[in-house]
Amino acid sequence: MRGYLRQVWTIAWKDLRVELRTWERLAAMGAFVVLAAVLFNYAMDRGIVHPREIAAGLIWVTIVLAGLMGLARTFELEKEDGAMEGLLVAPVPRDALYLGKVLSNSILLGGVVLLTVAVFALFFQVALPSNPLPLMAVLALGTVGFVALGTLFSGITAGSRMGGSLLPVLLFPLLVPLVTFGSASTAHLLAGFPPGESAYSLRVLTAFTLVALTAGVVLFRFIVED
Amino acid sequence: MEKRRGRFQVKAEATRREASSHMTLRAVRWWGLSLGAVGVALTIVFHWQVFFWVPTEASMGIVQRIFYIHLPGAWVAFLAFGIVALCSAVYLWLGEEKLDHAALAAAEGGMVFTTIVLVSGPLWARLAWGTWWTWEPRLTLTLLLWFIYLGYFLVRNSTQNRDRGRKFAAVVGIVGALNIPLIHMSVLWFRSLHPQPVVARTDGPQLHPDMATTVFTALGAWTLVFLSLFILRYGTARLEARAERTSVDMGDPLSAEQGAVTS
Amino acid sequence: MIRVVLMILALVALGLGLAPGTEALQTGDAPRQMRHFWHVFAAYALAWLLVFGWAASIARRLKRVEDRLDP
Repeated sequence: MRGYLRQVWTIAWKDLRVELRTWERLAAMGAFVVLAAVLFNYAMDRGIVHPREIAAGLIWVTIVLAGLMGLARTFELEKEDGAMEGLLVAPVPRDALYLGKVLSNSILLGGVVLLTVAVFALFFQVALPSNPLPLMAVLALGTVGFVALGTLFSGITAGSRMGGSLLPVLLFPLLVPLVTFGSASTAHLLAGFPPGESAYSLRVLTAFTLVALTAGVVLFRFIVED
Repeated sequence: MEKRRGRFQVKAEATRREASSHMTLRAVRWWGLSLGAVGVALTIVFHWQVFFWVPTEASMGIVQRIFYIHLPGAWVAFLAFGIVALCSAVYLWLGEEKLDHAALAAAEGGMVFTTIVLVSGPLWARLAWGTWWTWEPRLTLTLLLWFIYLGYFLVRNSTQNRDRGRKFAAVVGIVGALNIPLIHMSVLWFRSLHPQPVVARTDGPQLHPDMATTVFTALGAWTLVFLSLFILRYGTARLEARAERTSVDMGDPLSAEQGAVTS
Repeated sequence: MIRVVLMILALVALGLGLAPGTEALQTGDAPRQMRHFWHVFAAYALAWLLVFGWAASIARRLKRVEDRLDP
């Protein structure tokens, strides 16, 4: 078990180290989030709707789009110089490879999620709840669930001719539960409702994340094997 | 029948395996055509029921008759998706090519019937509730299902290596099916939060017995028509695979070229 | 193909001619009723067009592959 966890961490650390050398994915996603918020500001007439009122939904849409951008790169990078072949001959089970990718992507996207919330708080005066833990739980579950599904599908799109343009078609229909319950509970928590009211949303998000992770662990080997 | 099989065996110098697959294909044709015949007969009956026999629903009027293709269409679409997911899962597990062909055949049918649901739903809603589109949970779910099927086909045809495309498609089919219950929960829950125009329910205990009879006839008819075409499509896919194998064996230049492309 | 189209047209014509014989609408005004008929037949015609289209595509594939296997 500990050996397995070490393998997962080795894969994740490899990806994180690649990222730390260039910061290119984080820089792109971070800039995307800030600029998307700027565009949102100009896309809305404050006489009709204040951005704060629909902040939760906007936050989730921003996270999904930024994440999509980052995920599309997960396996693109490995395609260069035959890095994928190297990974596949490594003495690591396929599911550990997948979980390592999920871990590193979750850490990266987690940073972007925090930035998104901070940007919305700064730009649109969204009041953050005094007890941040429930909100953190919702965001963390959403991030991991999204990444679990997205990593699996980006493995598929990296092996296909259409590449990243295919990813939203595959991913968006399945993200409906995530966006529905993620933004509903985020809206409730930002509006200061007691966390107990978001219990159902949290349960569904947990189920979503577990289903996505299980599907990824079981099915990942079929999309990288040749 | 005996004669045909004999001729085939001599002609292709078939192995026993080839011969048995030929038997299967004959069974496929027989079942496909006979199910289709019963399905078409039932279809004629249910059209007669819909247009000449069943009473008109009082509050919605004639347009409610769309219900008799809408609901069975939705049922067939979900049945097809179940077949896709099941066959895909066993295909990944056992690696049997024919299961992938069955999944492909079901996915094609699913695409046809989700499209029927998506076209007939708005045509009905416009007159019954005054709007082309409502976020009615099952209609929304069907829309998402349509896009999952679309992804299935896009992925399938987007790889250079055909086996890879099949595996990708199978993964999409399985993950889509796993998510269907969660999506269903979301669309139901979303609706319960947001008040909508009151939808007169046509299903339920107050359904007129003649209406129930018509719905069940239509369900049977569409299911049989789908199963028949599904079986025939499956048989065609099997034949295509065999044609490919034989022409590769004989060094057919056409398929050699294809082989280079799809390698 | 032309036969399929004619069959659908015949079905539509038959329905338009005969279906008013069923119980009348309570609202009763003719243009509204015509619109109902139009929607019902559009839905049925499209449904049949799709199913026939699928069947035709299967038949075409089958014919092509049989020609290839047994020239």
